[in-house]
Amino acid sequence: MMIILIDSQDLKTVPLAFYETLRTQGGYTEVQYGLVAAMGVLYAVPVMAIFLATRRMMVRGLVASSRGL
Amino acid sequence: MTTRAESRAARSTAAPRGASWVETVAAHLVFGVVVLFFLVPFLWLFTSAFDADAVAYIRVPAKPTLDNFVRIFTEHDFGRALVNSVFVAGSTMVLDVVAVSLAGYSLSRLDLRFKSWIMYAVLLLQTMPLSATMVPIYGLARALGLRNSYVGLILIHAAIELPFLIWLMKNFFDTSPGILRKPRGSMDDRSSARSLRSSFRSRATASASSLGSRSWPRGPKS
Repeated sequence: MMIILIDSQDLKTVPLAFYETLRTQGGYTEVQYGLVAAMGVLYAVPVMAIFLATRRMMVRGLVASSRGL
Repeated sequence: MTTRAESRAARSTAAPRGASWVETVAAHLVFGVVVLFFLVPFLWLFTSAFDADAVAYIRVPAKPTLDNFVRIFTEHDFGRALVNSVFVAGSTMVLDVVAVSLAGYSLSRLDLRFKSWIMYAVLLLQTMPLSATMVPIYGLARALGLRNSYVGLILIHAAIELPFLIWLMKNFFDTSPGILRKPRGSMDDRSSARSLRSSFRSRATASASSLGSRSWPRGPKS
């Protein structure tokens, strides 16, 4: 979805940055796994931070919505 | 009261005692395989991130280095991308939580004429493959001048998540207890708005935070 809607460098989001790491040389596409992995590690950081901060609320919400507390 | 608690305690201790050691070993084996299955991709992520010339299989980096991290920030401007992603995901989450709370509440509490039709229509939207919507979305975004703007991106992200979240939130309101439910017929606009507000405060925040966690853009596909 990002790919088809955003093509300006200033507005790019992480999924677009993933695509930038693909390097095409003479019809042969190479994946730079190191860069992809480094991005993946950092991409997970905000999610982890939010999860750890709201862990208790999240579990309570899931339990409450499944058993109707 | 005590008898109920005792019987519950008896039941909870009875289950492990009944399991033989074969079952215990088998259960641990199965869980171990499942855990491994989910752990291996993350293991690859971590080993490769510190590997100067990473490959598509797991190996301990010969010389651990932070070179990859330096390169994504200098060559690919990853910091800006990350900030942009956080902004898009956060806006999507706020929009979704507000919209879904309203939709879920009204679908759960109001007597609408074609309620089941609406619910099935929402469910039908969820079955639509994302790739089938890409071309029309692109055309729409171009016609409305929403290309290269976050408004379009956020709206589309929010819309993609909506059907599932509406069902989740409707079920949540269906099962929340009666303090929010007025007797039939007394549901005028004022009381409905007031109970909606109180439901926001008292109950929906917990549920909303678990909804919010779904809005993070998942992978390059989205």
